[in-house]
Amino acid sequence: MLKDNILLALSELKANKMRSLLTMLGIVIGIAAVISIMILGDGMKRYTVDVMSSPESRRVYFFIIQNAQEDIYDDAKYDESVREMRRSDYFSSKTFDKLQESFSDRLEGISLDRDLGQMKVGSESINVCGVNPTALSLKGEIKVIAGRGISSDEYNKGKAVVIIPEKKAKSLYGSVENALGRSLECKKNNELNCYTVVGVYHKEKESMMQDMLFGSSGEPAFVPYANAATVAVTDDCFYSFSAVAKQDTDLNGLAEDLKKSINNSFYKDNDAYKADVLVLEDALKSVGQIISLMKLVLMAIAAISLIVGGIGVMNIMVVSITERTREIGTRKALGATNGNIRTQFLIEAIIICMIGSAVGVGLGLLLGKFMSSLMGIQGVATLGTIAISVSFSMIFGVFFGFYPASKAAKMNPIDALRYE
Amino acid sequence: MNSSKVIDLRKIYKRFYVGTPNELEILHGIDLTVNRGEFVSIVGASGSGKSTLMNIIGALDRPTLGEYNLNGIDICSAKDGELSHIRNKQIGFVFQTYNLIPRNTALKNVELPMMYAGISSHKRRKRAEELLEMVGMGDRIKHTPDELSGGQKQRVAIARALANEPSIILADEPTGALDSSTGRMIMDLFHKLHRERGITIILITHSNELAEETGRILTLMDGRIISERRGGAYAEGQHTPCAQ
Repeated sequence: MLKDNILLALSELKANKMRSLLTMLGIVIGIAAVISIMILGDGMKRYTVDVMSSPESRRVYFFIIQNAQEDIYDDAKYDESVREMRRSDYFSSKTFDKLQESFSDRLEGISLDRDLGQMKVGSESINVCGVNPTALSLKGEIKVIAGRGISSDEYNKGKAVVIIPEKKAKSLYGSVENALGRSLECKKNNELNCYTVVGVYHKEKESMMQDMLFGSSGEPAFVPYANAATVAVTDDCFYSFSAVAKQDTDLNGLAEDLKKSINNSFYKDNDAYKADVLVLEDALKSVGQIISLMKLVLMAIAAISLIVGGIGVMNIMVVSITERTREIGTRKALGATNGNIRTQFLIEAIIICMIGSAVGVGLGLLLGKFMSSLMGIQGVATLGTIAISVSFSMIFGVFFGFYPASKAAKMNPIDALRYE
Repeated sequence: MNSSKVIDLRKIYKRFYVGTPNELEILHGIDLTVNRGEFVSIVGASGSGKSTLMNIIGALDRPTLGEYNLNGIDICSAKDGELSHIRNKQIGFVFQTYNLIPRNTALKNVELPMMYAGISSHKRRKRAEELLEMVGMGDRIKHTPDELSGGQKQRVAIARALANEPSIILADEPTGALDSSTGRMIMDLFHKLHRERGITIILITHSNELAEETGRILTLMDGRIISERRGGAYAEGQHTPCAQ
C-alpha cells in the first residue's frame, strides 16, 4: 500500500513536471540557503578560532582620546571645543623606546610601520613599506621563497635592503632568482631610493574574512623601518600604534599596565589628551559574537524562505486536490477510506519536500563550499546539520501537506463524483 | 433473513437541508428488493430521484429515514469507514463518465479496488489481467485512459467494478456517453456477465429501450416507484444498436 502510494505520487509528479519542479524549487532554495549559511557560519567560527592563536590575537592597540572620554567609543563625551592636537600630543618613537625597555619581559615588540606609498620602478610601480620585525609579523602569512629575510642587524642599522613580492620579482627581473642582489631603484617625487633585493617572498592570498577584520595589507616591498624613517615624508608623530604581547601573556593586564605607564610618563601634564588601549582579543570576541548573531539572522531569513517554499507546496497541493476532485470521488466510491486518501496526498507532499530537500542539500553544499572558498575560510556541514534540515523538510511536508490532504480526505464522495 | 436478497430497501426517505426552511424531500418512502442474480433497471426522468436512490444503494449516502440491508449488512448504522469497506467489497460502480484514474494504466485502474482491499500486488495483478481479458481488453492492459476509446474505457471500468467480486454491479447510465453501437457492445457485455456469471446488476438509465432488455423494470417518478414490471426482451444479436 505504501509502495503503491509512493509510486502513485511519483507518477503524479512526473505527469506535472513543470509544476512539480517549480514547487520543489521553493524547497530547494530554502534548504540550500540553510545549508550554505550553516557552512559559512561554521567557517567563520573556525576562522576566528584560528585568528585567536595568531600574532594578531596578541595585539593591543593604542590611540589618543580626549581626557574626558571613557574610551574611543565614547562619543557622548567628545568635545568639539577641545583644542586641536599638537605635535607633543602624539605618540613618538620616544614612547615606543620606553615601553619596549620597561616591558621587555612581556612585550614581543611594538609594531612600527611606515608606508612610503607608491613608487616608480621604471615603468612599473610598487608600494614600499618600512616595517620592524613585529610589524612584519602582522602583515599576513609571509614566506621568503628565495634569498633571505631582513636580518636584525639590517633592521637595527636601517640598511637599504628590501624583500619584494614574488609577482614583482617576476615582472621586474624576469624570475625570482634573477631578482636577488639586484638594486631596486624607486622614484617618488623625483627622489631616488635604492634598495638591494635580499629576498623574495610569497604571501598567501588574503581571505575576504581577513579583509573584513583587519583590512588588506596588500603585497608591498618591505624595507627596514629604520631606513624608511630616514626618508619619511611625515614626522615622528603617531596617532596610534599596536604592540604585540609575548605568548601566554595576560593581554588585559598588560594593556592596562602599558596604558598607565604611557599616561603617567607622557600624558601626565597633558591638559587635553590621553592614551587609551583596545585589546584585539576582546574585539575578536565581539567579532565572533557578531558573526554568530549574523549567522542567526541569516538562518532566520533562510528559514523564512523554507517556510515560503512550504507554503508553495501547500498551495500546489490544494490546487492539485481541486483538480483531482473527481478522481478522489472515484477512489472513495471504489472503497478508499478517508485515511487512504489522506495518506496518498500526504505522501505526495512529503515526496515533493524530500526530493526538493535532497537537491537543496546538494546545492547548499556546493554553494557553501564555493562561497567559503571565496571568503578564504573552511566550513563544513556536519552530517547532523544535514540530517536536521532534511528531517525538517519532511516535517514541512507533513505540516503543509496535512491541510490539503485532510481537505481531500473529507470530501463527500457524491459531490466529488459530480465535480466538473 | 432471506439469503437470496441482496438489496432490501424499506421505506427509504431522503431529505436535504433537514431542519432549514429549504427542506427538500427527494425520496418518499421507497421499497425495493433485489435478489441475487437479478438484472434490474431503474428508469426515470431527470429529477425523479434516480441519482439519489443510486447513491443510497451504492452506500455513498445514508437515507434520512428507513432501513437498508445490503447483503445482510445494515447500511444506515454503518460509520464512514465501514461504508468505504462496504463499497469496496460489495458494490461495483460503473459510471456514465467511466471515471478511470487518469495517467494510470488499465491494469492499475482494475487493481485499484483490490489495492484498497489490501490484496497483495502479485495476486491483484493476476486477477486484473484475467478481468481485462474477460471484458476483451487483454491486449490493452498497459494503455492509459487517454489512449483508449469510450467503449474501451467503459470495458476497463466494468472490469474494475468486478475486481472484488461484489454482490452487485451498480451501473449509472453506462452507455450515456457512448455512440449507439458501442453502447450496444457494453450492454451485450452486461448481459453476458449476467447470464454467464450470474452477476447481480442494477442499471440506472433514462432510456426505456435499454430498460426493456433487463429482467425487471422499475419506474421512478418524483421520488416514488410508480411501476414495476417484467422485462427481458433481450436476445443476443437481435438488437439494433441502442439509441441514446
